[in-house]
Amino acid sequence: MAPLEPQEKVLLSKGFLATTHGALACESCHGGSPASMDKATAHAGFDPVPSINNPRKACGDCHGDIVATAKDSLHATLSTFPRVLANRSSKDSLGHVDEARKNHCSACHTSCGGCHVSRPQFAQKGFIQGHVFQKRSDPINQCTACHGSRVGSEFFGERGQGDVHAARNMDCVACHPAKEMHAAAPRNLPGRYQLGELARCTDCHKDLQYGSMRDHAIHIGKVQCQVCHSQTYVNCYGCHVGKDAEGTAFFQNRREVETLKIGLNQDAKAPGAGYRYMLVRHVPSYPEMFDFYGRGLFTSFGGVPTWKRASPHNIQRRTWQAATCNNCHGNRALFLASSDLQDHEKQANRKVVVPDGKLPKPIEKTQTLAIDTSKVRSGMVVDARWLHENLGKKNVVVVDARNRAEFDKGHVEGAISLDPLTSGFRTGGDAERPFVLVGHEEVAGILGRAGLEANDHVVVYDQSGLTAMALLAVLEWAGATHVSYLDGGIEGWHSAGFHASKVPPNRATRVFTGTVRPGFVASSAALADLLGKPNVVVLDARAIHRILGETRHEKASRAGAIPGSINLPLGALIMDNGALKSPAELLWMLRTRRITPDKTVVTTCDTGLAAADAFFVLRWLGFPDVRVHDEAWVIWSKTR
Amino acid sequence: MGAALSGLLGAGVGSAALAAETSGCVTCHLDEAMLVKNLGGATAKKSAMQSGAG
Repeated sequence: MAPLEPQEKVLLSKGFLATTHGALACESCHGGSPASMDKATAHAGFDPVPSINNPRKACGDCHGDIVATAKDSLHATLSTFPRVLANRSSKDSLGHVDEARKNHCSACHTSCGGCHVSRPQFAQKGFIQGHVFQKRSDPINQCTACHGSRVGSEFFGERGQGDVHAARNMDCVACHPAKEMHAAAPRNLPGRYQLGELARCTDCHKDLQYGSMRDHAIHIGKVQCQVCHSQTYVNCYGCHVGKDAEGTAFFQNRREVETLKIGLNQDAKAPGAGYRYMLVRHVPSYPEMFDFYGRGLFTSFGGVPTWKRASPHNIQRRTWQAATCNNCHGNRALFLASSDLQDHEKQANRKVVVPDGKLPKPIEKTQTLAIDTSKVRSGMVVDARWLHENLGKKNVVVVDARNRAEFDKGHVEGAISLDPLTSGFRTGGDAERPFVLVGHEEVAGILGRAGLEANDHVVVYDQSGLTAMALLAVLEWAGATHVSYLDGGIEGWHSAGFHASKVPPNRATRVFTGTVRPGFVASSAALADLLGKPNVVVLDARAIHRILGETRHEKASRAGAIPGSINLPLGALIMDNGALKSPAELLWMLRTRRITPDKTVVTTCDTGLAAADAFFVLRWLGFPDVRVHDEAWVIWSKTR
Repeated sequence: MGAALSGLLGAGVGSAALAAETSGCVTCHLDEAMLVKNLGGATAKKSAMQSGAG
C-alpha cells in the first residue's frame, strides 16, 4: 500500500459529488461549519470518523438494518479481547490490563468508513477514490492495510507462494461477505472462530468427503482443511507495548518466525470445527507484555494458550506436508511439541501440544516422491556453525550485505560491509534505464575496493536474504568462483548462540580479476525472443497483486506482467529472516509450477533485485541455465 | 442525515450536488494546492517507537 501525502488523504474527487453520498451536505455526517472559509472555524466540531463515533447518526438513518448489527461487529468492537485478557488476569489487575487494551489493542478497530470510504485509522487513514463510497472493500487499501502481515503478506505472496484464491483474482469479500462482516458478535463471545457467520471453506467446497479425492475421504472430520492446504506462516513473539516521550502509544513486535505447526484442537465446539488436528499460530503475548502499566498483571498467564487455532490465508491445492503421506505422518517436527514452548507458556499450551502417542503413525506402504537433489550445489549455502568454525581461515571472506547502519549495530566478526543497493552496482532509479547492472569494470572495481578477490570463498549474509542473494548473483556474474549464502542470515547467527562484533572492518583493497559469466543477463529484447519457446520458462518473482495489475512499481509505466510468465513470488523461495527450506521441498514446489532444471529459466521482477535473488536460489538448487532479466518490468513496461 | 438525504432526493440530486459544490468544505477539499498549503508539515500520529507488524 503506497503511503499518501497529507493532502492526498483528504482530497475529494469531482466524481464523488455526482454520487448519492456526494449529494449530502458534508456537515450532515461530519459536523463542522461549512460556511466558514477559515480552516480552524470550519473544522470546529468536525468529526473525522463519524461512523466510529456515531454510526447510528452517520450511517444508520439510511442503512439502519446494517448499522443495527455492524456497530456490534468484531471489526467495530474487538469484543473478544476483553475476555481473553480477563482470563489471563485477576480482579485486581484487570483495571490496568484493560487500560492497556484500550490504548493498544483497540487501536485496530474500525467501522463503516474504514471499510467503505477511506483507509482505516490504524492504516493512517486517507480517502479511497476521493471519498467515493465503495460497496466492496478494497483489499489493498482497506482489508490488508490492517490485516497485513498475517493475512495480506501471505495472501498476495509476499511470504510464501501466495493464496490460490488470490491468484484466481478473488478478493477478501469473495469469502468474507457482508453477512459475516456486518454480523453482531454475541456478548461474551469466547473467540472469533465462535462467530456463527464466520466464513468456512465448506461454504464453497461442499461435500468433499463424497468426492473422488481419496485423501478427502480419509481426512475430513479429523483435520482442519488448512493442515493440508496451508504453507508456512508467520508467528509473532514478544509484543512490547508502552508510550513514548510524547505520550503516544506504541507496540513493538520483537520477533517473527515463519513456520507451520499442527496442534490438538481444544476448540472443537466452535462451529464447523469438530476435527482433532488444527494449525496453530503463536500469538505475541508473554507475561511481561503489559509491564508498562504495572508489573505482574497477567496473574493467570497459563489460562489461555499462546499457540492458537490459525487459518492462514496462503492456501494451495498441493503443499509439501501433503505431498506424500509420510511428509506428515510420523513427522515430529510438524507437530507442536513441549520443546517448542518457552517455560512461561508450558501450562498455557498443555492441551495443544501433540504428545508422541498422538502423532499420526507413519504409513508403511506409500508412494515416495522422486526428487533428484543430486545436482544441488550444497557448498553455495552454509550454516552458522560452519561459518563460526571457518571464520578467519585463509580466503574465507565474510560480507554483510545489510545497510551500514545495521552493520554498525553489530556484525559477524571480521565481516566487511557491502550493501548492493547503495554500492553502485546498478543504475539509479532516475536513470534512463533504471536499476540495471553497470559495466563489469565498474563492478569489479567496487568489489576490489571492498577487499574481494575472484578466488576468495565469499560468504554473504543479511537480515532477509534479499540483498545478500542479490550480491551473490552479482558476484557470480562478475566471475567470483566460490560464493556461499549464510542460511538464516544474522538472525540465524544469533539463534545459533554466536555473538556480534562492533569492530570496524579492516580489509585492504584487492584487485578483483574475475571474468564475466556469459549468459547471465537476458535483456528485454532477448527475453522477447525466448518467449514461447519450448524448454524456456520465465519466472516472475513478484507478489500476486502485481501480476493481477492491482498495484505497480512507482517507476513502471503500467501494471501487468510479461505474457506467458509463471508467477512464483520470491517469498516462496526465501523464508522470513532469510531462512531456506530444504532443496527437496523447493525442487518439488518448482516442479508443481513446471519449473524444472532441464529448462532455461529467465527470472524477472520489477527492478531486477528479486530476479537476482531467485537466480541465486535456482543456481544453488542445481539449475544449469538461469538468466536474470535485470531490465525487469520497470523497463519492459516502458518499451513493450 | 436520513431527513437530509430525503430532502435532497426530493429536491433532485442535481441541485443538491450544486449546493454541495458551493459549500466551503468542497471548495477547499477539491483544491489540492490549498490543501498542500494548509496541511504542509502535518505528520501522522504514530510513535517512532512502533515497530513490527500488527
